[in-house]
Amino acid sequence: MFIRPPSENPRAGCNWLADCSLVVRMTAAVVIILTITLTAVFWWSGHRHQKLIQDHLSQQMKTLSSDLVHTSKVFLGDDNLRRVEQLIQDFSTRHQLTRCRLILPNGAVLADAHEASGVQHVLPGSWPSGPYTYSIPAAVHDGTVDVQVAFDVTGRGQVVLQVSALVTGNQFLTVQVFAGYAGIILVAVFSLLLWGRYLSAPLHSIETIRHALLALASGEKSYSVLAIHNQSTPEVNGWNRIIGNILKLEEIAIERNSQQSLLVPRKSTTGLEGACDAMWHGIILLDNKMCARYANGAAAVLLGMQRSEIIGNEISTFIAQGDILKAVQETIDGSSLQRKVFEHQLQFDDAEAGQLRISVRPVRREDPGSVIMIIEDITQLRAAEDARHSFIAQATHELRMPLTNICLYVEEALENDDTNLELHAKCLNVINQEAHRLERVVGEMLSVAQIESGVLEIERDDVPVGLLIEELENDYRVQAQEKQVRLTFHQSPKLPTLYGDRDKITLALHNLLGNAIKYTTPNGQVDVRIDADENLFAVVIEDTGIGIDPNDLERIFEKFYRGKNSRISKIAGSGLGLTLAREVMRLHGGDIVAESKMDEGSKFTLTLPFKAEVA
Amino acid sequence: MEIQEHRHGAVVVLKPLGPLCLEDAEVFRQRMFEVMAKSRGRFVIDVSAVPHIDSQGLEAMVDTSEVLSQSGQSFKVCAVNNTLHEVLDLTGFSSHFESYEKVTDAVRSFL
Repeated sequence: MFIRPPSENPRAGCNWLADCSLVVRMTAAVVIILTITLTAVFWWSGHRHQKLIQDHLSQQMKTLSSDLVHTSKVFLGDDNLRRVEQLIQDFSTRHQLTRCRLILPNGAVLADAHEASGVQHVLPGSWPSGPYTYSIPAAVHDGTVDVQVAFDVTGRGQVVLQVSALVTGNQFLTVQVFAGYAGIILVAVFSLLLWGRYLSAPLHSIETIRHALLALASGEKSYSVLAIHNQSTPEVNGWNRIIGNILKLEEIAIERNSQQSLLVPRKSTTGLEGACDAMWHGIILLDNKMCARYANGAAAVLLGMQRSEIIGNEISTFIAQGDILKAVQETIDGSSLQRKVFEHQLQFDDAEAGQLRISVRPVRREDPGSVIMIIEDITQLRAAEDARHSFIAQATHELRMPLTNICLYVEEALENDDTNLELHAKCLNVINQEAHRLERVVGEMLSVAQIESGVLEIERDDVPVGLLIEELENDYRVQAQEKQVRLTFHQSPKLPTLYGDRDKITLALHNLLGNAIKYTTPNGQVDVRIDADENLFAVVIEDTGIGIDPNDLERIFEKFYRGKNSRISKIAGSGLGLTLAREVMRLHGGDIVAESKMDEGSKFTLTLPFKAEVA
Repeated sequence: MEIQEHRHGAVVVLKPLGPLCLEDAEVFRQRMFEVMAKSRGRFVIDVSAVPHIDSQGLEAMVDTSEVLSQSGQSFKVCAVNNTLHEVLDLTGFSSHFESYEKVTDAVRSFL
């Protein structure tokens, strides 16, 4: 393992923003900021440009309207309506107006450049005044500038001029402005690309260094992990040099401190005493008064005492077992010169019980006045023997039961009439079942033996979890229905692929689910939950069964161990299934954990890392 | 730091989870001495979950090994990873400990 360049990170793309490299994130940020800024500039410039055009047009319309009013007033005073119509027409055409007309306060139209119908061709003698003001207001509505101005025709009354024009900017100018903006964008993007290309390599290096720093902060110390490979930029070379120096300094510090630690004068002995202290077995020399003249380190440790508590003291102060004391006495007396061996049980309040083998013999047969005691720790030997005896007893029991049944039914089939087909079928059925049971027990024993001897191999390959769970569900659906147990699977629609031994994982899952159904009473419930995150795959099998006694909870994973509950002993089982399941999971780098409450149910959690190292 | 304790027959297996550095090394040393006294030296250190070790961690192991050697016993470690191997080789302490590949091998050495 080593620090990978960001682009080689296998997790890239899982969580887009979090997993993207620094280069990508920086480029994305620059592009987004640039886009937002340019959009804002465009919008603001366009807005201001439109406003300026409107203001300019409004001012222009007001000036022109004022001129038109002045001229119209003269012609209307001369009662020359035709000249006024001509003037309105010319004015509208020249200035591209959308509306240009003269009206009376009662709504009658005197002249209109765009509407001929309804126009009065004769000027009335007088008319009533209207509510119009004489100012020249300009208003902009929906892209149109409206100007309305009222004036008096001498001796007749008030006339209103209404003028409207579309706000249209200079198209050429607008195109020029926007072309300029587009040019600026192109230059900016091009510069950005050039900048990104130029900075890509150093930023890539910096990103990789950042990953290495995070690994360093999380406690990683190995140079092979922290050093950056596959890149040779100056930044990376500098980093590799720095990290190499730091780790070298740390190693030197460890070496120096450790050597100093070794140089600290330690309690050590040389010569014969040192040789005796290096012995794994305890040695005690007793004189003719049954007092200890010498005891090596192992003797003190094995008897759970300080050496000073042994040397110089009588044997009865450190060994109370009567037959040993008697043997020592007989050896000193010279009545027995043979080696005598005893097993001595140690029991301490503050230490674990132990089993010692103590040999008593004279130092020299011709001089029985001194005795040597050799003490061996056989605690683990006895524990191993007990385990072996227990295993053999359980294995014998498990093998004998199906064999006995097979023998019985074979004899029954042989003794009965050949024509009794029903009985023959029954016998064959039982023999078949028992033979399979025998095969299963032998197979499980073989697997357990292989695990213990370390020869069981895990053949890893891709294991699609979805398919595995589907098969599991199909295998146990009918069995659960027959036993009237509700079996429910809870899983996400898409399950990942594991890297492991398909057969072994299947075996573990079958054992757990088979047990859950087996130990759940009718109308009970078994729930199977499958969860997976980035690193771990977990299957939780929970039942409402008979439960496991707290004293049995950890022992159920021992070989042949079955709970002491009478309800459990009525249900067939070898006591090897859970042992195998847990060992197989541990070989994959995973585990199985059990929780249970009596009469409420049990919960088994199987966990498995996705790409675990070989355990 | 968490130190798991399992029993294999009469042998205690101590499994520290995490680096053996600084104050954790002292915690580990105390735990080793407790177990050593309780089990009369029948214990194994499973270092499979120790990613790295510093001088204090190493000193704790050497001290324990020294005490054990005074009574003819050995300091047994198992599942030593490459990083720890490098440190032990570099400091010349690899010969101070009995090293086994698996826990079961180390436990069996007490027979």
